[in-house]
Amino acid sequence: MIPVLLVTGFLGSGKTTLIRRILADPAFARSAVIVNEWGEIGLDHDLIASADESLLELATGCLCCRVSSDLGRTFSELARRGAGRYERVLIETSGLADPAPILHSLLTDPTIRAGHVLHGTLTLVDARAGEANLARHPEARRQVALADRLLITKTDLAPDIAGLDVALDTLNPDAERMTAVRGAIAPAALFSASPLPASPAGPPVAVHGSGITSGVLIRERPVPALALILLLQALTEHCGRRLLRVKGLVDVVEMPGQPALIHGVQHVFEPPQWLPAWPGEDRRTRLVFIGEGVPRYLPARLLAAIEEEVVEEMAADANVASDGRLC
Amino acid sequence: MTDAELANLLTDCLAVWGIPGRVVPGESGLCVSAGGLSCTVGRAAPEQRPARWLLQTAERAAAGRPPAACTSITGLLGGVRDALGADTPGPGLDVVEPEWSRSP
Repeated sequence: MIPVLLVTGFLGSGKTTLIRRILADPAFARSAVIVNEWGEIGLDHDLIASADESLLELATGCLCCRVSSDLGRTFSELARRGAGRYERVLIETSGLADPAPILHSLLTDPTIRAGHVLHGTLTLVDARAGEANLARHPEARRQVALADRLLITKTDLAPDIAGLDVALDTLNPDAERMTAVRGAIAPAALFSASPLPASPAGPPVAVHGSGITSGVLIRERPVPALALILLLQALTEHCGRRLLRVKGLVDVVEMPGQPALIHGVQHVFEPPQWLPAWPGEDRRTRLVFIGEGVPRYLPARLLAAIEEEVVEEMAADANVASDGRLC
Repeated sequence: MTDAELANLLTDCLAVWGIPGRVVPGESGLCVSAGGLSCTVGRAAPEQRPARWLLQTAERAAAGRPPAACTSITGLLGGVRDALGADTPGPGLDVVEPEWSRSP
């Protein structure tokens, strides 16, 4: 499967510069690039000096419901013309794009998933203008909220990023954070395995005013698989588009010692990935929820209520089975 | 689950449904009201299993009907949402087809 990296970030954050630097690295020359521009005339694709072996595709319509079919067609064309010629795909979104519909397509479109797998979402944040952009533009906040990794750019122009760090902490404390000046970063770092959710250092955090809230659900005891499924069903049903992202590790009763890695974008979830062992000493369930207007304790309260019923039903079933054996 | 915990959960749900409202204790359970509509959430007696929750709406009460029985907290929340006229529910959980199931 060919990995796909979604590169997003607000206007002027340096996405095109970064992609040009990646393509200039001989080890990453065999990359296909999809430029997802907003507007009838695309410019970014002209600015990307693609290496000889690179492929360049242009897809438009990122801000409307046509994104799914557009992106699917683009990948079809890419696979037809470039089979065997590329080892990875970079998608550059427009600076005003909401990454969520693009992620939906990458996760669900059978045309895309036939040969490609989403590697992750990289969001670029301008060190100089990032804090103001996050305060003013909901698009910028959603781009940060949906990131697996955050790349802070232009730190040579604004070395003091303490305020920006605070803003990023409140929007997406779980995302790995890196810095780069003029796209100078080892591309391999962007294509390494996505970091697993870290053990939270403090209580859940929330942003007031931006509308985006982030919370961490921590459980000391294992969660029945059925309770986990019902929790995700209920959250997606009741939160709808307000739920932006869910990611974390769950200690499941039925799979002791093998945590489930959960990853979801809005209502679309990957099947749980069962890890062979816990990645560290912390073996607690920890799920990060990022949403717009989602009360921070709703997931924990919902899980507690669901789990109580599931455990009661499991106990009742066990009693029936036990009685049966006695008979 | 205590009444206070249930009230907190219902209050969170009102917020996520986008309908300002309140949850207060009443004679037969928790009264949930929002936007001029209201309903009452009560607990089913053990002998009423598999029903766990009882949901009474103004419509049912006016028609002389007993409260609706809900077998789970998720069913109850859906009933409350409908009773209060909140927006249509979200799309629900969509799990991507695993790779192994697409192999020939």
